[in-house]
Amino acid sequence: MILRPRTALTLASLLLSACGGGAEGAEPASPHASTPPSLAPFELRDTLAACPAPAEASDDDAEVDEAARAEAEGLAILVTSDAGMLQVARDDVARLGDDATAALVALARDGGRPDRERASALDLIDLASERGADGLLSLASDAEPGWMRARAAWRLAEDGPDRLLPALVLRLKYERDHETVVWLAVALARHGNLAGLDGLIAIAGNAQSPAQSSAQRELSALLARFGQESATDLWRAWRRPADERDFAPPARSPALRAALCGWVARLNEFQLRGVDDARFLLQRMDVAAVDVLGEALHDRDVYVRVHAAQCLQRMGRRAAGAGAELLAALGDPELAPHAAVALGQVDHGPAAEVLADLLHPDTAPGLRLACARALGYLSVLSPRRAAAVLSPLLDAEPAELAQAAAESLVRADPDAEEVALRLTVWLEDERVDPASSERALRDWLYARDAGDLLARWDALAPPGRAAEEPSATRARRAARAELVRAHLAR
Amino acid sequence: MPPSLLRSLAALLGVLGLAAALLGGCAGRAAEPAPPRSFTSSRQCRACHEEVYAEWEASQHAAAWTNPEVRFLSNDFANQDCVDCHAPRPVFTTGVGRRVLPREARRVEGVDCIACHQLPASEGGGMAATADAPSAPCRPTATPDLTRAEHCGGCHNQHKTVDQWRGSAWPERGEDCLSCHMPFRDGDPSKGRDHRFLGSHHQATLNAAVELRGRFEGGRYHVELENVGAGHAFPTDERSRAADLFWRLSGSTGRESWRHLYRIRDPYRHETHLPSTLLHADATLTLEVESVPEGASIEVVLFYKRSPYWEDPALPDPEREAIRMHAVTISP
Repeated sequence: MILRPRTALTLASLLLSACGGGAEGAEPASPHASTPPSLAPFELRDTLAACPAPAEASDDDAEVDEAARAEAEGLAILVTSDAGMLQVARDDVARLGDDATAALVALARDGGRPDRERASALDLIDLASERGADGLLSLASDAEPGWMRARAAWRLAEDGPDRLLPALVLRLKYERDHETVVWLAVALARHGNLAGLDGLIAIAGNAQSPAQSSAQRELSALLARFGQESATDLWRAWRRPADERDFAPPARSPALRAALCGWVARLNEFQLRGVDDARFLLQRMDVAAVDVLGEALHDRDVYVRVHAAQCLQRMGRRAAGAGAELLAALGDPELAPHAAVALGQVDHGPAAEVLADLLHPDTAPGLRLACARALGYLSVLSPRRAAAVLSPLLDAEPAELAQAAAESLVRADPDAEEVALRLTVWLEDERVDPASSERALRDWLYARDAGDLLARWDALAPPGRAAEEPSATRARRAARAELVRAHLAR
Repeated sequence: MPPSLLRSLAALLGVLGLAAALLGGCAGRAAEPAPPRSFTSSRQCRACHEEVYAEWEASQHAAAWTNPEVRFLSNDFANQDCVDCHAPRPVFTTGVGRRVLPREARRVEGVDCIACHQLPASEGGGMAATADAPSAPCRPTATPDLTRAEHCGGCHNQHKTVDQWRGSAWPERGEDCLSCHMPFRDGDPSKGRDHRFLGSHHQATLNAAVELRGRFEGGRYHVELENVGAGHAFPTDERSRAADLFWRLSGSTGRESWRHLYRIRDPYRHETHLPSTLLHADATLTLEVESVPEGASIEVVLFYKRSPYWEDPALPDPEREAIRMHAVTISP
């Protein structure tokens, strides 16, 4: 990207402010540029090299000492016949060490054993040991049948170490057994991570689910713990916390940071399979990941930088702590558009005037568009200021820039009726992405508390089970546009 | 010579020298190619490349962002992981053979002219082409990487299509991505390559991928499906794709008449309970139809689906929900 004069000026002011201000006698920097980015732009460094190496996964199939195996099996049989012996037997397992743990994991996996014996073996695994926690994680990940995974997740919900959080979040992507999903959510929530809450809510409301009662009970416990009235309130609080540290415990282990660094490093893989997994879990993490992702914005690898910005963007308000780093990332030409979008989603107020400055025609098109989109999400942007900076773009070219400006204007101002009327035109304009304006208008109706109108809008949703014919999509959007026009005509 | 005359001569020579230098400089500049124009939309390519643009505009690359099936399967791109390949930055910017990165602007243009042809500004800009044309506004530059499989691989090897091709006999036969998906117009290299990117959305190309055969032998109904025309697995690339073999008694009609025989598909990552049943290049699948009433003739049909799901999995309606590819009748 070639820096245009205006863009270069803005970035230079950012750089100056990062260095402690300009030379004496120079014009004072504009107030918006006075927020110092915490890290100097243009200087990328390999943050991952500073991370501790991730712990190696344990090998379930490692050779196990025969005596320990025999003793562990004996303990499992003992507990199967007398559940009251569980604690005593666990003490013995702790004394026997890793070999006993490995034997118990293998026993729990053995489909040829009676179910009760397998369950006893799983219950005996020493969660306090590294090998035991890893063994339970592996059982929670792929043991068959589903009740084994559920039971392993339930054990991890007792007292699993926080370093397992990323792996547990990732299981939410693949797990289909309802009972397991419930206990994964509980295991995560124990560490202040509510990534599994939406699954818990869905199962609690599903009368057909065999895990409904477990989900309802655990959901009630979470509501009481976090002092929320309803599941929806708790979900909103997790998605948009007033303070991004609302849910996180005060301290996290170095091992968790190492695990997160390992996943951040995977963002540069060629196959999107691993990248998508990393993005999935990182965006569902909390402040522990925000710190690592903020540092990754300065990584030498462009894939790591871009995807780290995406993860922060998708975290939304939980990633507010990375605002200063994202602001600094506007100085990286390859990263700038992603950083701009992320600044909007994390709602970083100090970015408002920087983004407004970058709406200048000399800014690179992708960055200019991203800034127009991002401004609509900044809660500090008053309707008046939004109109001042975005209205001049309403007739701009390309059309998607004008569309983005209109969408941001309605997000910033529930009373922006004239702009909403313009947005109805974008619903039927194939030069742009009409779905984007559909989302903005839907948000606008919601912000206006337009109950009946919103219900009629939602009734025009696309069918869920199959792709819609283009003609049907056009007709549906035209009907939605007409709904809004009729409403505004009154 | 008087000094004043010398000074005058020197001055004249100086002026002439300066003029010559200026003229020479101008002449030199006139011979250099103009800097490439900056392109912000593939629509700008239409003025000079009308035929190619029209082909691309009707292609699935142009519809990468707008195709209803993509919108449905990505939940209107709420699954943002899909954006990377459906609205990529220029391949030459991220690097041939490397994974693509998503762009923020003009996503509605999908996989467009700029995505495949734009050369990095840091290397002088211009457009990748098969020949140099320094005077053209977009300054085409001969770039051999443009036609390599790796150029397609940033997106199309995400589901191992390029690897499947590489592991087949097709590269040895000199057949690559372009041979089938961007052939020369009318087979004539002077006419340039077809930019419709013919693939599974083109019935003839789709049908040419496999051959369906059936026979009655030893009292049994045998079905064979051979990958004869795809230089990669069938189906490939998209886990969203599936091919299904159905059979029914000859002469029977209606949705209820169909019986499912076999599904060929690479499952999504979360479908860990399903095996990958892709039919690889030059491979043959052999099946037997069971539970046929004695002496009956049957019709076996291969259907292709661009979305893996049936509206009612318990009672699929392949004739309405899928694309009919091949049929064979087997009689005792």
